[in-house]
Amino acid sequence: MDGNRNNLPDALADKLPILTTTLDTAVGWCRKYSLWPMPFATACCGIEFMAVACSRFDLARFGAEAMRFTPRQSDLLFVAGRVTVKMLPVLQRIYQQMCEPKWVVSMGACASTGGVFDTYAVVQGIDQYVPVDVYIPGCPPRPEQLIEGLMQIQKIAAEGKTQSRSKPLGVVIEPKRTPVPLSLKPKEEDILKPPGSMC
Amino acid sequence: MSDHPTVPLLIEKFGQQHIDVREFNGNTTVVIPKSILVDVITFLYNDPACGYKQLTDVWGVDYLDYPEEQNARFGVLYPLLSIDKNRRIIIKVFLSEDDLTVPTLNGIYKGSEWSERETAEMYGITFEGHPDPRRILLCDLFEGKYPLRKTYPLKGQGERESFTPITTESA
Repeated sequence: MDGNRNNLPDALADKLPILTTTLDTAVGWCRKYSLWPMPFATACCGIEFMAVACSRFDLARFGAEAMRFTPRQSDLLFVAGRVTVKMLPVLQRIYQQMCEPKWVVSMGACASTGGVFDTYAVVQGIDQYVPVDVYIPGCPPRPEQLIEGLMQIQKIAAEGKTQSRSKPLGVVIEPKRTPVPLSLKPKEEDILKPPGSMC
Repeated sequence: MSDHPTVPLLIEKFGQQHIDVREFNGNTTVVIPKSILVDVITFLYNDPACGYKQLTDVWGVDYLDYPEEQNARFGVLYPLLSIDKNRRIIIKVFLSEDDLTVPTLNGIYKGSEWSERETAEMYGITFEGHPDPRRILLCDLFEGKYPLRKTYPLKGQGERESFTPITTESA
């Protein structure tokens, strides 16, 4: 917590087990570790989202493991997967039903841009119709990227803004790719040839 | 000529001039005129030597600009399965653009209902005598539009751009 002990007289600050802060900061700190996501999973990104919620990556470490399948009980909307023209009114209704303060994460290429599905039935990016706070690229994104997106939301939540924001944040999580060191790359002779191969 | 055991039965019953057999990749397709469709399917369903008790699917094909010459622009396919004999056969009718109607098979296969509704709204083919000819899959924006026709633009006619955005204030 961004407590401020310096406002106290020195004599008190050292002795008393107290911490002063503002209400907004305290509420923001609580909110940060109790985000309740609503998974709007329409495609394969939803499978990746399940992996993030499971034990290996464990969204519970960030206090966001309480998935709610009703928008009334959640404040973080994960749009995972392509959204068709038939589904878009549903998505808009779900966003409207969520309680303030609320955030939207657009997960993966399809939700953000339509992906490869440039057809009559698929909306080319949900940000045309609902405000998106964090975009996560990838097809599907790695769980680490998703966690980083969640941490961005946590930062925003910790700022303690209680009233609704006027515009979406539009933060983009950059993909991070570490090249494999040369020493770890398999050598030509180590690669197994298929049985019966002539070469 | 096909060595599919059902083809000689069809030729014997309906005559050589109505039965056009095509083989591709081990699948036998029998092209028949629309006028005898219900008779042929009824025969295949009831005849003990055929026993095609299951209609696997119903779908349409748009042959516009197809490299090979076809009988007409649209085709409707009925793949049938005989569970007793472990055999499949595909029945196909061609529909020209001026008469896009075909009799429903709902009297024989109850399961044809939704497949026919889907074909109807994707291609604009009317299934005559269908008990429930409402649209089935597409949303209201596609009323009167047939997206699986070759003439329909892949990116649509503005359906995906036609929504009202909601903002943080309006929500």
